[in-house]
Order: sequence, then C-alpha cells, then structure tokens
Amino acid sequence: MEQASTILRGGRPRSVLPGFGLSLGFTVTYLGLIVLFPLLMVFVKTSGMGWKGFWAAILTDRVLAACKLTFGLSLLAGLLNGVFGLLIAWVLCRYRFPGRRLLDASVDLPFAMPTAVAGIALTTLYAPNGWLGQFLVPLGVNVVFAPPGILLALVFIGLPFVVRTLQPVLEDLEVAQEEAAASLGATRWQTFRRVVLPQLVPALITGTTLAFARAVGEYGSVVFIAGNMPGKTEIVPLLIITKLEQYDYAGATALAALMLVISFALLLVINFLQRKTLVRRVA
Amino acid sequence: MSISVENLRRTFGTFQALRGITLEIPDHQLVALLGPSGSGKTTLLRIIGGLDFPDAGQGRVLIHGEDVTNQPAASRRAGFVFQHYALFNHLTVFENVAFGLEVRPAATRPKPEVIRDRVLELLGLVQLDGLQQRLPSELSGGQRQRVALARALAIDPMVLLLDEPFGALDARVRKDLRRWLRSFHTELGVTTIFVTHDQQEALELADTVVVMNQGQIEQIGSPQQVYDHPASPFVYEFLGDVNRVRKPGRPDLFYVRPHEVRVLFAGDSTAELHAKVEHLFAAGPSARLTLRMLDSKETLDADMTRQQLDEMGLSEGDEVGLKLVLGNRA
Repeated sequence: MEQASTILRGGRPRSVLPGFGLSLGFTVTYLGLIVLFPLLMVFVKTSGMGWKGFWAAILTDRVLAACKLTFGLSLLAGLLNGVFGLLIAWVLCRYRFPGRRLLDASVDLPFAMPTAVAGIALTTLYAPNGWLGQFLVPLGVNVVFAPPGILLALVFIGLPFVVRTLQPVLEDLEVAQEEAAASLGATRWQTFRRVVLPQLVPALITGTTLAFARAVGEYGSVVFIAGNMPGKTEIVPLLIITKLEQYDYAGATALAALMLVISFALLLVINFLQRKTLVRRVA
Repeated sequence: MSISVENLRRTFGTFQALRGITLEIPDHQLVALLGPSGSGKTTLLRIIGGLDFPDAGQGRVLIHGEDVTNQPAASRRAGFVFQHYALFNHLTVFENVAFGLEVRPAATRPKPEVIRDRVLELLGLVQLDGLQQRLPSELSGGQRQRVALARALAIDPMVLLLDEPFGALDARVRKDLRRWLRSFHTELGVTTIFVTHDQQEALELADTVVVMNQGQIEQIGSPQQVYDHPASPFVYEFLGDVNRVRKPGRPDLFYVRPHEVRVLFAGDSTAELHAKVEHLFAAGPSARLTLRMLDSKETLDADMTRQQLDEMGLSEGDEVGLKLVLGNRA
C-alpha cells in the first residue's frame, strides 16, 4: 500500500522533513542576494575593460608584489594560527585552572574589536618608542612598518577561528581513547601523533582555512601597522582602496576579481584536502 | 599472572572511592568486581591497570610479585577493555588491533608480516574474520566489543581488565557474549578481572566474585559461597531477590530468597506464616507470587514451579500458609 501510494504521488519518496523545495529556494535566493550577486558585480564591472585592459591593470610590479605579500603572509598567518590555536584550544579544553573562563572569553576579542583598534594598539606596542618596540628595535627587529607587523596583525585577527573550530571536536574526543593507547604501550607523543591528531585534522584544516581567508581580506588592522610602502608593505585590499581613491574603478575591480579567483581556487584546494582526510572516517 | 592489591586508598576531593582494599587474585582466574555504582569497583580496576593511582603512599599493586604501583599504564602490559570500547575511530579494525604492536620501540617491534599474522589470528579468535578493513563505525556493538578485546590481547597482556564489558549491549547479545567470554577465558587462561553491577553476570561468569560497597570489600568468594552464605546484609540484598521477613513473636529480621518460601494451603498445620496472594505472575517454567502477610501487612515474594501452582490451583486473592525453608543456613 505504502509503495502504491508513493507511485501515485509521482514516485517522490516521502520525507519526514517537509518543505525541501521551499527551503532550497530560499537558500539560493538568500545566498544569491547576500553573497553571489555582489561578487558577480565585480566580474561584470571588470569585463567592461576587456582582457587586454585587465592584464594591463594586473601585471604591474606593484600589484604582483602586493599579491605575493598578501597571500604569502596570510598563508603563514593561517599556519601559525593552526599550530598555536591548537595549543590554546588544547589547554582550554583539557585543563581546569582559575581564570580559564576569562582566558576562554578573551579568545573572542579579535572578533569583537574594530580591527582598526587592534592595528593601532599593535603599532603603539611595537613602535620604536613602544613598550615592546623599545627593546626589539635596538636588536634590529623591526616589526612596525615591515612585513612582521603585517603578519602579527593577521595572526591576531585569525586566532579565534582555529580555537573555536577545534574546541568542540576536542571536547568530544574520548579521553578513554588516549587511555586505551597508553594501556597498549604508546608513549604520550605516540598517543598524540597516532590517536589525537588524526581525529583533529579535519577541524584543524577548517580553522586554518578560515583564518587564512580572513587574513586575505583583512584591511583595518594592517593599514596602521604596515606602513603601506608600495612594493614593500602594501597589501592588495589597501591597493584596491588606493585605486578607488584615485577614481580608477576599473583597476580596483580588476584587482578584486583577481583576489576572488585566487581565494576561491585556494579554498577549493583546501576543501579537497579536507575531503580526503574526512573520507576515511565516514566511508 | 597473579595480582595482589594491598590496603589501597583513593580519594577524589572529599569522596573516598577506595577505603583500604586488600585483594589477592591467583593465576588464571576469572574474577568479577561486583557492586552498585559508586562502590569503587571501576576505580580499583583502573588502578590495577595504571590508569589511576592510589593516594600517595596509600597501598600497593603487585603484578606477579612485582610492585607496579608507580608504573604508568604503558609499561604494565595490562590489557584494558573500556566500557564504551574506546576504539580508535579513524583506524580500521586491523589498525586498531595492530596498534599495541606498532607503537613498540623499533628494537622490540615485530616485523610487518609478523604483526599481520598476529592480528589476523586474533581476529579469527574473536570471530571477526574478514572484517579487518572495516571502520569501528561500521560495526555492531558486539563486534566493537570483540575488536576491543582483540586489541587488548594483541599486547600479550599479563592480565586482562574489562570495565562493564557487556554494559552497553542489548540483552540477547549480552548473553551470547557472556557465554563466549567464559569459554574464551578457559581456552586462553589469562588472569581476567571484570567490573559489573549485574549480579547475574558476576555469578554466571566468574570463578571468584568480589562484592564491593562504598569503597570496601564486603565479601570475596566463589559464586556459590557469596550467594548461599552472604557475609553481610548488603551482600544478601545485592545478590539476587530477597525478602525481609519478621517471624511472629520474634523481633529479628530474616532474609529469605523467593525460592526459599514454600507455599502451602491455608489450613496446613505446618505453616509458620499466613498471607494472601496479591499478584500472580506465571510466564515460563516458574511462577512468581507477591504475597501480603495477614498480620504485619508486609509483602513478600515467593517462587514456585508452574506445576506446583497448577496443582494447588491458586489464584489472586486466595489465602495461603507459608513455610520458610532456609536450607543449611541459620
């Protein structure tokens, strides 16, 4: 009977969750309006200038240097956040100590603060007359108005992504698995390397990717600490603003389109990598 | 291998989990640690396995005469099977079982072919042939349990420790696995300790039952000893169904198991007590009667065979006489 009625209704299987059509339609419309449509405008604007104009705007030393700086430092910031974010998440999940909640809450601060404030604070701290800068500069370590400063800002704003994606996974990880490893004769390092880390990898990749993507688009905190010297400490988002200020709209959108394509390609690659690590757990 | 535990104490904050446990377990025994939750049985098992430690200076653990109290789990060669198995979710069945051999230092690690043969042999032993490439998530509860067992056996353990080994399984699988573990132990002869709160399980499976309560050992003995000669009221109440009865004219309480209550006709002159049948449950070969005493109004359970029940023709509401058959105990 059940089968017969299914056939009568056109063969679509019954689902406990109704409204697939409606919710999918809403999702597509919403994503379209919020994300895809604005991004599409970037390409529409860019297409007006033609391939020749596009390459002419892109293939300049200044743009290429900015691209290298932005993507290189963002990748480095993502990786640094991956390592230290894991450490912080581990400490917050595994140990109980006074002030833990306060520390836990402070992880979110980079999210909540206007990034310009962060940039100004970092600059003040590391400037030649700042609290930390006064010791570093005599040692020949220039942070402010140099690539290390940009890296510092990018690490700062990306940290919460790694910690917050890892925390729930770490909480769910059975302590008994580590005890099992120990009772089977594994050292602490072997237990971490063979039992804990493999189960964290998918979340670690997600968190690192988010931190990376955030760093690529970061503007507010970097402009204050970078010094913005063309070809040396100028990041792509800043270059886009500069072009806009010079009424070079086509050049700005060409840069934006380039950034979008590179970012999208990188995210696809990372997604693919993550798939590969996930497959074994789900298969 | 023999295990002995001497005057072990363990405190968590203000809670005394173990209050001076002394226990001697001879070679090749299958021992049950039986008790209600919070009795300290799992804590004791974890301390023997090196996953927990006694309070500083409070007691010793010896495996085969060697003091291992301060040795970490990794160097004890105690195969531990966890209540929820704690299988490595990201590793296949094969990799799970091979783990204990793979993590050995290069000098003592067997060759890959040797590991392979050993793992396949163990999987055969626990009847999981052909499943070595599966992930734990693709197995049933009973299968996971056996993977956990094979994994623990791979390190050739001095002692096998099982924490509520059948706790998470449904009744039927439980029964099968129980029988299987019994014959398995007979075959391998590894000294095995398992924790359970199920008295039926402990009595059916173990050579020796250690009854624990509130961090102390109430009684140690064979299943028959602890069932027939309980050392304390706690053991009496914990092991099997029991009635507390006051005989007329005497102040003291009696413990009587349902099968020790003989049901007679109301007019029988040998009857010691009189009661009314309040409820009658007769499914299977035996019948369970809930009786209410005519004088004290207390209730009491009695077991009888279906045949006896049919012969007496009892039904709910009937009055009966009772005689307590206490066998060879006082």
